[in-house]
Amino acid sequence: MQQHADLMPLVYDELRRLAARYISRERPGQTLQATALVNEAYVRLAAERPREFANRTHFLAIAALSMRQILVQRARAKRADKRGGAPQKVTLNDGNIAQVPAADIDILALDEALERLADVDPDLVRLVELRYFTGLTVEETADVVGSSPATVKRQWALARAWLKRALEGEASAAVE
Amino acid sequence: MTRERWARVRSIFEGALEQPVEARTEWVRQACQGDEPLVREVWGLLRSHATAGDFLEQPAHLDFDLDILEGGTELGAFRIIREIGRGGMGVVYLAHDQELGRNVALKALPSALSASPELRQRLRREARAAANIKHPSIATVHALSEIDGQLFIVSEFVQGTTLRELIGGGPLEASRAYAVAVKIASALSAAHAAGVIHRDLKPENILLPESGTGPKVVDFGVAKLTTTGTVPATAAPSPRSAPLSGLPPTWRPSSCGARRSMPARTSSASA
Repeated sequence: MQQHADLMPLVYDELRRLAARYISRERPGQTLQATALVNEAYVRLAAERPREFANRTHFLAIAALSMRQILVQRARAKRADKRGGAPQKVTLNDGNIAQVPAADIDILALDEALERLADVDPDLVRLVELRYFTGLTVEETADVVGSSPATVKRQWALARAWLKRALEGEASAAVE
Repeated sequence: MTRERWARVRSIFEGALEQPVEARTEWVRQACQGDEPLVREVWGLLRSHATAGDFLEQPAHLDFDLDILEGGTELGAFRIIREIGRGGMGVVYLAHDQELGRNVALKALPSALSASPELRQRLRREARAAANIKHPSIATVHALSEIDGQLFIVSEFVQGTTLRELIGGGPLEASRAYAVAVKIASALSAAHAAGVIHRDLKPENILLPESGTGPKVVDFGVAKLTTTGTVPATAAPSPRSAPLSGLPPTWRPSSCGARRSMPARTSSASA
């Protein structure tokens, strides 16, 4: 346990660097979400059983997975809320707020598609976790996985194409 | 699909992307050497690639639900009316103080962050920084309260527009710009005399009340409190990239330059 406790400040520093990166490139209305997500990832990592991170790459991969799980759980809870008839949250948009509409992605469907992609090409799943769920740029991702930005770009194109097709396949199946 | 087959799909797909768009279809057909299912698989992926647009390009955290308090929620005597702003660390609400019968601004941490000791400390520091400055151009802090684990700052609600919105409609008349600038300078001078450096002064953080009274400087979320009480005149403002607490201070002695105190400069500005 001692070892774990010693490690957590380092983990938090690393997560904070992530948050700082978000803040440096996003509009003010978006930074709070990033801070909140990073903070929740920290709380989860701190609560889990002690584990050792081999290096920064390993840590970021775990943090990315953690962020994916947080977002998926929240999406699941939201859907359960709707089905249970609980009052739906109303977002009040004020003209003063820098609201940037988030892309309309069904996180739960994406998560299921990623499960299937994991059977085909687990490397692409890791890439999506770093690029999409953790918000790293192509260059940052290349740095983390230890390949060139050009390689990451090609793989990212493939991952997006595969997932888009998987999600659209579901959507058209649902219509039929 | 077997690993070997996927490896072929992958390499043909990636190879096709190197080709000019109009040549890809034919290139794939040749690369697949008569394997029709393989051709269809890669074509399908290329079609999907061509229409992917910005699919997944916006990071997922933009979808992170902040649990914004809904209108009608009660926090003790305060009834939330609506969200009016959002910063790097907190959400600002318009609320009605049902005891005193007036509207106030509440700044609170979203619930996902309200347990963080570090962020709670920041909010406390922000309240203290702003509360220690008495100036007509600085929004008055009424209280720092905690109800049901929700820590929040209660301050004066300023009905009006931000300076950002105002200048978005075109340049200000010189006399108006001067009047606003002088009042802001005076407010900052009062802050510096109280040992508080705002560090995030920008048009978004200057409110112009509808009532026509002077501007109000708001959001001391990243303010720095000094112990000396006065602040060098040329203290560098904090860059936007470092609003997180605990990051290495961006304030270097070299950036403080001349050691002239603010009060001297203020008198010349208001003269």
